[in-house]
Amino acid sequence: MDIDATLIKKEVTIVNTSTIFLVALFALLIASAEAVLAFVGVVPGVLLDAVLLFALLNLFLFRKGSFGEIYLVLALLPLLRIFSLVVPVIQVPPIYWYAMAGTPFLLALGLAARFVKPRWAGLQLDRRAWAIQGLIAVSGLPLAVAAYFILHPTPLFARLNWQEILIGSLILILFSGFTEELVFRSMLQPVMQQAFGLRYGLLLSSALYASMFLGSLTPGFILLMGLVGLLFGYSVERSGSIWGAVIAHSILSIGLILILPVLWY
Amino acid sequence: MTVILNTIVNQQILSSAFGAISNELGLIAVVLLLALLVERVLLDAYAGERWGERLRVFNIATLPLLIALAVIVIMRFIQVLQTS
Repeated sequence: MDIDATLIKKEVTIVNTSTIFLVALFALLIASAEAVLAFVGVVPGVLLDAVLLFALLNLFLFRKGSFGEIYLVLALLPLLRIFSLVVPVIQVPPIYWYAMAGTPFLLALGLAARFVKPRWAGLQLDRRAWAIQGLIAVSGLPLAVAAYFILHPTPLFARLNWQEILIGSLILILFSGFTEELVFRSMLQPVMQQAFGLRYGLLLSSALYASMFLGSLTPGFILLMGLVGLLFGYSVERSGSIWGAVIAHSILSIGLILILPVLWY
Repeated sequence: MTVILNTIVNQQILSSAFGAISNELGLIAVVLLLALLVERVLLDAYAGERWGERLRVFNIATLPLLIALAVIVIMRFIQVLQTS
């Protein structure tokens, strides 16, 4: 067991039962907001997200005891969904939607990092660790193919040229690979593991990650994303770095959204 | 499909009814922003010393929301200019 894991296990004892109950309740409510958005309507879903965001920020502010960061990290999830629907994107080509909705969220992440230090985001790795990160990164390829054959998304472009591949890839690396790994693996997973222990924390943060895909309306894809969350979460925890998962996630997004639909559609 | 833009979000943006829905979403965002700003000002005014740096937690939501709303206003302004 590495040092991080030992520290997390020790910190579990600090978190009291009422905090664990509140965290579980809010995690369930965030997943419910995604379900409302997908199956009831966008407006009630975003309204629930706004209420959750307000409540979680206040819980962080008025908390008693030392373990309040988890509320702040959970607050980032409804904030992400609000940005994805509120920022006007229809006037620009679809590939830029990710940048337009992702930019204010990335700013929010930067501001949140003042309160919750992201874990496993350092680059101090030896040669062996980089080899492991490389192996994790390669897993993005088969995952992209599997995700494509489950979801069959429509292509964003009729034909791809190098300029579109380059710009699209940069956008997806920054706003999908990096941003999502930073939130889910570097910020959410450690605080969930503090509250629920290593195994259940990983399971719950992966379930929460999968719930953010309820809007895909495809059970197979939601399940796959849950497994992706588990795989990336476990590899990040064991390797001590998010960068392999960031590259794998970027390859998954670029393959699923940019390249494979044009090749196979 | 990513967390930021999943299928339902894409479908909503592309649907013909999104124009009307986006007004309601904008209203929710404005009310949320105002609620957070008012709370921050009140806490700062009545117990600013007690809260100190922790009040900056509101910036996490308010600063990006302000930027998003500025983008909305600019986009609408451009739309009006184009139609006129």
